Amino acid sequence: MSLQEEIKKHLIDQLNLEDLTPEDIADDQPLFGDAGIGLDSIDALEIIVMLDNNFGVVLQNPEQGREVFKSVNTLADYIVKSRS
Amino acid sequence: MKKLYINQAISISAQGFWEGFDLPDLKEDFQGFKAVDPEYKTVIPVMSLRRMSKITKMALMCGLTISKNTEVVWDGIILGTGLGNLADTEKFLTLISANDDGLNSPTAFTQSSHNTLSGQIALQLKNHGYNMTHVQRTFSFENALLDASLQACCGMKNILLGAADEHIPILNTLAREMKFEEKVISNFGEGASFFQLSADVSSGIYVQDALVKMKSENHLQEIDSFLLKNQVEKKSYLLIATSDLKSDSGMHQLSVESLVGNYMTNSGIAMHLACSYVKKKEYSHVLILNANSATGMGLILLGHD
Amino acid sequence: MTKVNVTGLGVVSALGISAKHHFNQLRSGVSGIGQFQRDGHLLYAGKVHFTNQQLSKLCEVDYSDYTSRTALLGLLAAKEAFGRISFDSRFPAAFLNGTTVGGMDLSEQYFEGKSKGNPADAALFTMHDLGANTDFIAKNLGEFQYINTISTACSSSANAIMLGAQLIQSGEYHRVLVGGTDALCKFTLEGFKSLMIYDSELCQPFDANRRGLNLGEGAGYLLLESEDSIKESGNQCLAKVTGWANRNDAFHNTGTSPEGIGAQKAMQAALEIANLKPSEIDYINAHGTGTQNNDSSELAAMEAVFGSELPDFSSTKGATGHTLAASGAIEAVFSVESLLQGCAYGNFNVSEPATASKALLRKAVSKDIRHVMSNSFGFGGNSTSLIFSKSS
Repeated sequence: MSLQEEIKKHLIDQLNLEDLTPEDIADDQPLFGDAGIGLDSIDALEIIVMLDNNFGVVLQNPEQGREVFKSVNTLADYIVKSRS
Repeated sequence: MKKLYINQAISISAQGFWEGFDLPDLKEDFQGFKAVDPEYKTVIPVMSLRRMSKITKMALMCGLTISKNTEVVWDGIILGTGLGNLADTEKFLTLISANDDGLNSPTAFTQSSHNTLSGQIALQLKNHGYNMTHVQRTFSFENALLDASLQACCGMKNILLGAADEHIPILNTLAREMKFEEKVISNFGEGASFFQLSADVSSGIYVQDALVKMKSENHLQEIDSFLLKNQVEKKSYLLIATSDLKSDSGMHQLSVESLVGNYMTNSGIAMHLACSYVKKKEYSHVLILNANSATGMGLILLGHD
Repeated sequence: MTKVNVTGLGVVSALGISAKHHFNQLRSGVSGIGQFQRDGHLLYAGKVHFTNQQLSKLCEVDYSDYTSRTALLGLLAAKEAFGRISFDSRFPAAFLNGTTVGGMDLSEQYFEGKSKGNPADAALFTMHDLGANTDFIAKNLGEFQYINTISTACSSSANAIMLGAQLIQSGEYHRVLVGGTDALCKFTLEGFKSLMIYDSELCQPFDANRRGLNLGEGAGYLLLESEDSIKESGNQCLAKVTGWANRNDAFHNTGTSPEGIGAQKAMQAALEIANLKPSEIDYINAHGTGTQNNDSSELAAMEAVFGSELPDFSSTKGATGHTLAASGAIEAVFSVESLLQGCAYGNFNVSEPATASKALLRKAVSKDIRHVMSNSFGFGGNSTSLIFSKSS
């Protein structure tokens, strides 16, 4: 499974996106706002928990979230960067 | 008490999803009183629904369906709940007990406030009006109704009134640990009942009076004084109680306990049932007796034009 | 319109006990927030400096492991507010109580115990439900005709005050004890931490660089009486409740709209009830939790309602912490004291003000206060505004 696939699986799980499958989420699709999947500020906090629990990555500053959580791709980039 | 017309009623319970005033076919044989889930997705947006526990779903389903059926904009959204959002409370408690360090998922916490129900309805409707949640145990529904009457006296015209309570397995565990009788435990139920109230648009069915007595030595005596005050003839009314009355005073009476089980706000569905009898006009009035409290009682009187 | 008289005040918080004592501390800029150890972490909170045993003694009730701290804090403050008035069947009394925590301090002990494999003690849940806490306070005071519990998050006790005022005005009741109580507990501490709005340092409401809130605990109550009741009780009118309103922000479950729509509407409606112009408000006791979101929404809302002439305002949460459901009533007590004493409190811990307006008080100011506004905003968009006016 690619990192993107893994991220999608955990997003669906953590955010209770019961109606979605990984195939429904494109790698570069906006996650937040009406133009995207429609996630909100509580989801951003849940993603922080998800990153910690599943990838061992801790986002110190929630403000960073805006850029890091833009899409599955930006999430993947952040995970890779944090691990190196 | 200000006369309030009941224009709509919707309930969710072990009897299923019931919309309107016509008496449905009532089921009687139950193994537990779990409320039957309707198709929540048809009314509640999926991105909101995904976070909600059963009590919130039931309340939203009822409240939003009523709102869809009418053009009015609510002056007030007034709800009652006895125990609130139990599932979310248990979820967050379990989470924090297991996790002494690190981050906790916030969703259950944000959904656990007792006013999540009324807040979520306002959010979905973008309603900026009065928004209140009453949590006085078995009188939560009656207090919400009394608040509705008070606000109508202060000028409100259109009020969404509702009540909801959910059942989770740990309630049975705790009840057993506290040595409750199995018969009592097997009667635990859950449900939601919502009403469109109008101060000036007649539906033919109205709330004439309501009363909460914190201490009642003799329910029958209280009922007699209440009926006298409201000029109701003794044999002309129907009594719908939240639980089977042990004494029989010769009144026509029903109880909702065998239909929906026992939960703190089941006087809500008793009022819904009362509406269907009021509509039929077989009785001059229908009296709802909330006998859930160990020490007190609640009374709601419905009449028709 | 029937006047709604405030004739009793009661409060307990991290600052101590009694309305007068709180006034003195606030005027002097003293904060009750301290640093505490909890589960191996240090955090800032406004903790009441009494154990449950000590609270029980002060309340003159038997100590029990199964009495919630919320109920004890409530009883202590309620006794002060109720004062020496007696229950009189000619003037039936009502009790309206706001709370969100209820007996959670005990319920979480059950879960802690279970997670450690200890035998379960279900009796810890007997005071879990909110109404049970209200019943406890009521029965230890006397015979109330009508008892109700309101739970609308952080505006709960402010709403209890509003409903009490409406009951008096309707003529239905002549005496209503109103207010609220909440104890500190792991549930709410962890809850606000999970939302990343709990400040790991001392909170700084209305500071440009604020990081979040510190929780507090406590209780506040007011005794409201009609004109007829006062003639009988002989109580002195401390202030009048002249304005009240509850509206909804309808923006997000926990966050507030940038413009503070709910807050705006609540303030405007309260002014209408009071028949006052915005310029007649002499001081606002703000909600001011110290979170980025609340304080900026609240400032925006105040500017929308009051224009460029903002009344002097401050948040006292820098002194008590955010006492959740109790905050509305605790701060109502502070507001009435500000009227009585002619003193508007300063903000606590502001180093860089979030607004250039001089209305953001840096310290307490002596001034004639004829009308004071007290605001409380909670989860679920619940927004409540109260106005108290001088009794003359």
